[in-house]
Amino acid sequence: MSIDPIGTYVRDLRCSLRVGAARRWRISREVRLHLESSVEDALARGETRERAEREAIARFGSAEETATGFNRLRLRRRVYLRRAAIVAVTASATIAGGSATVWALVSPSTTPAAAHPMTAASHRHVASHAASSHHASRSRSGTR
Amino acid sequence: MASAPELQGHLDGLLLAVLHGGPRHGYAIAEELRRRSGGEFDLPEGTIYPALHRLEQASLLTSRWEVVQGRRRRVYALSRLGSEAVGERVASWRAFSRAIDAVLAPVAAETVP
Repeated sequence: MSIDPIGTYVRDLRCSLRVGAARRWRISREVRLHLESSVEDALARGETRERAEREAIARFGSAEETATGFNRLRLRRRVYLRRAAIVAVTASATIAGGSATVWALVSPSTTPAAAHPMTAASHRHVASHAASSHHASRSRSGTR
Repeated sequence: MASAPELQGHLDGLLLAVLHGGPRHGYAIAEELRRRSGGEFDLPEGTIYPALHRLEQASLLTSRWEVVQGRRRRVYALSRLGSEAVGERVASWRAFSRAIDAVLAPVAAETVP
């Protein structure tokens, strides 16, 4: 057994972790403190340090398995973030497209009559029809 | 004794239940889990940390470094969301447990002397 089995364990764990530096530091620290507490409790029960360290590590599980648990977590987080990004981009595109369509339909400035001869002609036709109707109704009311 | 695969899927609920009693650091959580189960859970202690980190990422737990009995510890506590989740998990477990009991009961009546 090595001189510092807990140190060796934590080093092995750190090497197997596929996480960022801050998380790796936090995990290493938590695991080291856990193992040290476990050893202290065993020493208080009267066990030898060597036996206490061996049992603490055995109860904790292998460094590879523990690292796999954390690495899976990171993978799941990455998948989640990728999905969230896809949803955000799709939602933004839909909202932008919808807004543009609504704006085009309700805003007269985006469909200027001059830019559309057919529309301009329609406008003139409607205006002249309205004027003639108004004139006719005034004439009728005048004859009464 | 329940092994790690048997406990898979229940670990999150068990951790939330332990933290329902108040904030604890990882080692204390493992100890409390062992004490409450009467040593029935044969779970590598290392498996609780990824679960704690996962629950924290899901906003069910909060954590921070604190000095406990002269040592710096990462102490975990239930968030408001976590407190709500404990209740839901207990209700869900009771329903599941009742259903399992109902299925097993006739067999148990025949086989148990």
